Amino acid sequence: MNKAMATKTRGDSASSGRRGSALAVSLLVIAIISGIGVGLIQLQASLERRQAGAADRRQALYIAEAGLAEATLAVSQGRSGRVGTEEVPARFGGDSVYWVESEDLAGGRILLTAHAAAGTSRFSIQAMVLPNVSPVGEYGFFGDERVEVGFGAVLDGYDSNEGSYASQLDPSLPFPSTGQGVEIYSNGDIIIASSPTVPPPSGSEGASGGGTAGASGAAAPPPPSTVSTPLWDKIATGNVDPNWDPSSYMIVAENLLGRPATVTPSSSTTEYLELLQAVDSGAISEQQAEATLGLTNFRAVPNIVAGVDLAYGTVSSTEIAKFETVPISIAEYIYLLQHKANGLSLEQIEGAYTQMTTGVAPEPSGPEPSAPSEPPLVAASAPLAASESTAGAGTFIFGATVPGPDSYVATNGDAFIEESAAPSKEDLQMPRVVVPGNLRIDAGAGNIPAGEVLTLTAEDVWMDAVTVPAGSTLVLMGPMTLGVATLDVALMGSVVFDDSLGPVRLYVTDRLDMQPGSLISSPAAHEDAFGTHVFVGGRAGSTPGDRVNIAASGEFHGVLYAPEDDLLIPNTLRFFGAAAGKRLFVQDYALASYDRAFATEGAGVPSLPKILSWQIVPIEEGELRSLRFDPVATLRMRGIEPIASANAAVETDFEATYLDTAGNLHTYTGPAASFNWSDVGRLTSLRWLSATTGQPLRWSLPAGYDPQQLVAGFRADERMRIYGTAVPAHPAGADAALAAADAFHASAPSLGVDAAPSAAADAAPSPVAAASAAPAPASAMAARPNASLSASVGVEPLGVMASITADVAPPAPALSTAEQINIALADAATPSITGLALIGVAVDVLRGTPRDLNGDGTATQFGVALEGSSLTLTVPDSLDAASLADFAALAKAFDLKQTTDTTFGAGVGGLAPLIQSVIDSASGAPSSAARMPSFASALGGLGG
Amino acid sequence: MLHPPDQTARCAQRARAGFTLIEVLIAISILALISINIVLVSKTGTAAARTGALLSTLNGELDLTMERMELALMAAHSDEVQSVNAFPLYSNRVDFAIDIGVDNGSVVLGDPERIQWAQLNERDGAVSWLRNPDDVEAERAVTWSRAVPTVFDGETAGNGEDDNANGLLDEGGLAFTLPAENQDMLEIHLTVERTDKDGKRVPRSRRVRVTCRN
Repeated sequence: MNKAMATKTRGDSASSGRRGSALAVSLLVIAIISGIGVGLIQLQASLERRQAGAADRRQALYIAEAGLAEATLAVSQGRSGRVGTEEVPARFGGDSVYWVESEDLAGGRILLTAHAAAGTSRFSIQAMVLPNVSPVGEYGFFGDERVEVGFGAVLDGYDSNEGSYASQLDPSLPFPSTGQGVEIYSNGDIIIASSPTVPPPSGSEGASGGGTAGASGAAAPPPPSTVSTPLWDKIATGNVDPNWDPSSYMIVAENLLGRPATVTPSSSTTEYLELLQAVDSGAISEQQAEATLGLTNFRAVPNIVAGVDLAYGTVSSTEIAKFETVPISIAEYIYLLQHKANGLSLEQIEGAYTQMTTGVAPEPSGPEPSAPSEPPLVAASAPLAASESTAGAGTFIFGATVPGPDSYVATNGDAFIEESAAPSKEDLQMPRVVVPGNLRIDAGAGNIPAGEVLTLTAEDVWMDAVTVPAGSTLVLMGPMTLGVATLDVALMGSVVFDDSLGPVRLYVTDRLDMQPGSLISSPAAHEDAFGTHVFVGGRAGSTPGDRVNIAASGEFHGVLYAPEDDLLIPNTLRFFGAAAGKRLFVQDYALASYDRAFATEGAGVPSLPKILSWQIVPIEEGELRSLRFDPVATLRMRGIEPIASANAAVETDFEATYLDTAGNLHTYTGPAASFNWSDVGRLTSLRWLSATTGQPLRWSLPAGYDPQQLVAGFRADERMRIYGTAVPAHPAGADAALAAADAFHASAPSLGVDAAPSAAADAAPSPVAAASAAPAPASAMAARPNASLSASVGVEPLGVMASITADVAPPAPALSTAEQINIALADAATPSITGLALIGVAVDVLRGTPRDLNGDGTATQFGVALEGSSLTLTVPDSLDAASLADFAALAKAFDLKQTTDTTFGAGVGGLAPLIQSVIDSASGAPSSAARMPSFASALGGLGG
Repeated sequence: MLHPPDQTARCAQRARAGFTLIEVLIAISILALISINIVLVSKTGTAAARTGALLSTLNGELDLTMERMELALMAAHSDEVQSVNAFPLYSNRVDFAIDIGVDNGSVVLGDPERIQWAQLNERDGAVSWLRNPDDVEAERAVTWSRAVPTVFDGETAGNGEDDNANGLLDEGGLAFTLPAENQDMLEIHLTVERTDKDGKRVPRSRRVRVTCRN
């Protein structure tokens, strides 16, 4: 029995031992397998995360690039380029968002920063953009097939947006030049002449600048002759037609001197001519004439005798005497006089002249007072020709020369080229000239009678043929556009491009011929000019250069664009701006300055954006770690729904109803950037789409209100309120306040959020996004006035309204804390305050700065109770119906729900958080404004 | 009904006797088969996991290295990309500078940078990024990968032939070349390669074209 029991016990023990072991082993195996499984799953998850992260990062990069492209296009259209905001970004696809910030930089450049978040990755890139690069002015001096720069020419650059040319001169140079900034481009070679092929103006030869500007040995056909005219010699030798009118002489003198005709015949001019004629007729001797005029070289200096200060200064008879040993023509003399004005000493001029006429460099004739600081000249009859210190270089190009691909810059090494001469990578395209189709045809008006002045301004007109004979002047005064088939300017004819009030555009389709001795002038100060563009379109004939001949004198500031023709910049014409032609020639000794302002204007041709610099913006490590959820989910947790991409641009279309300055009613629907705000006298309604919700929104006058009556009533109310009388004597401050009241009514009479019935509004993204775009870079908007106005309209009315209340109650102390607000708002009613005034007071409340108008702790006639996040406004029962309606509109705008006839309350997401943020801000607590970008921006607009 | 005493004893004896030999053998056989299967599956799984991990590591390294090169060269100024030969020639180094802005109309460039391959041992080299290369005092270097082989995937060194049919002859693990059709573009060929547990070389390769944005 015991044995049996023992056996049974062993058996039971063994059995239970086997079961326990199996369980343990099983558990162990399961644990091992589970561990391996978990490890594998984790590994796989890690791999997937890594792959997803890489994919997200790449996707974020591409989205950021897309945002940048969108913003780049926007800035080229005159908009700010801002898309969405960090608080309310634009949505891209399922779980990606992006937004673009814009900042204006100097020189018209815009810095765009695109941010994108996709999945758990984020990427930011930045680009510096020139928004409106002009394809006709971008490349400075451009010749499609070639560019030839004559000997002694000086080409530099400046930017008229930064001031005048003179203000940008480099004083360290021995001649007047900015010493920087020119750009010379070609799709072919750029040839720089190594020696003059054109003699300077010579009276004896009667040619003072004709010939080619091409390089010696170059196979280029001769460009049109330029400044030669036998009349110059006649003047120089006294062989002037006795029948000449003195004014004719003056015109020629001007042409010779290359300056605009500011002259009217003076007594001295008349005296000179009379003396000249007397000498020629033998009535008096030349010595007698000189004694009469106090000069020693009677025939050489008629310009001085004429008393015409042509901006080159005058030269004393003593100085003139230096040239007496050499027969000098008036043309030569004036040419040298110009050089003197360009900063050369008389000795340098004399040396240059001697060199020019004899080919021998003169010995130094003794120290001039200014000689030590100025390098002596050698081979230069041009004002800017090289000094010995620059090894006799005769041509200065202060900038870059960029020949075409596989082309070259040809020079003998004497020319000074400041920057690179490396060829471009690809051919540059010249856009075709298209004459505007909206020109009014006036075929018969182009023949200007001799001695007459034809002024064209403020119109767009087409004339088949315009001829400017001697003594006549064609004045193109901007804003205007003139299209002509042919424009012929004869000797002593003048063309004035006056773009001081607006842009001037001249389109020529068949021929532009400005004869030697004709005059061009651009009287506007460069920094104030709107821009002059001369386009030569149509198809050139078989002989290049047969359609365009610009041999005029004077000064031109603008763009010459003739893609089918050869262009010559003559040395008689002081050229500022840009020039582009099939082939471009810069004549020997010519002075040409590239105005970079023309690189960013698209007058007459579509402008294009150009990215100057592209960079990846590093993202802070901490910022990256915070991206644990996809951005859309993160925003939704904050109650924010990203804007649809199509609606995210800050400034887009809207519909505006307004009274113009004459009181006529207009309605505008279209891009905000195209709206001319200067026409608006009073804005009566504005409709757009909410950038955040896509809901159509509208501002409008309360129904039944006439704006004029509203303003008048408001004025009366304010007078009554301030002065206690309906017709007070207005101190200056009150006038300002009332003016502001006008502005208030003009810009936003009341605030109302209504569903816009028009379907058109559905396609109109919103300018209110500007308001919702908290900390908007104001400077980015400032450069584009229209965009700025349209974008800022969301906050402007409130700001104006706030300023009204601030102005009308200057002595009232501001109350800022919640307790003070409540104390103030428990004030008794003032019966004279109407609903409109209440709106202004309410704004003060919203700003957190209600005013204690009575000095007794009272501020308003309605009660405001702020408890936690709940706000209640109670309007006194005595408020008239109209005022109550006004107030109701205001309350509705701020999402205050009307709970009783006279009580309005703020719901969640309504006004209360705004008030709270104001209080937080006043007390130094973290503001909730960031969670409410639109209200936060409104606060900024209020200045509160 | 009660069992007779001898029958009861036989029953007890049978219980004490345990499994028969056949049963034990069968059980052992089954257990052995199961164990073998478990070992085989485990081994296969481990090998697969190891291979997967290696490939994943290689892919990650390839992605990361390539992305770093892409982003660096993306911001480079096309005129400042140096030391690279035009296709079909190539180089294992690129010198460049990135745009950091524009001042007075002129592009402002950052410090000179370089991406280069340098040999570490007989089979492998390292891809490094250097700022201010050749400037002893200012140079800063970061190694992006140490698994870039001497020879590109599929290429046989020194035979003068394009074994992997990518247009480049005997190229190394990192090769930069300029496509003929667009000089603002840079083509990067990169191979990363590691040795697995069995001593087998496992390569991963990629070719990317980067357009310099400046």
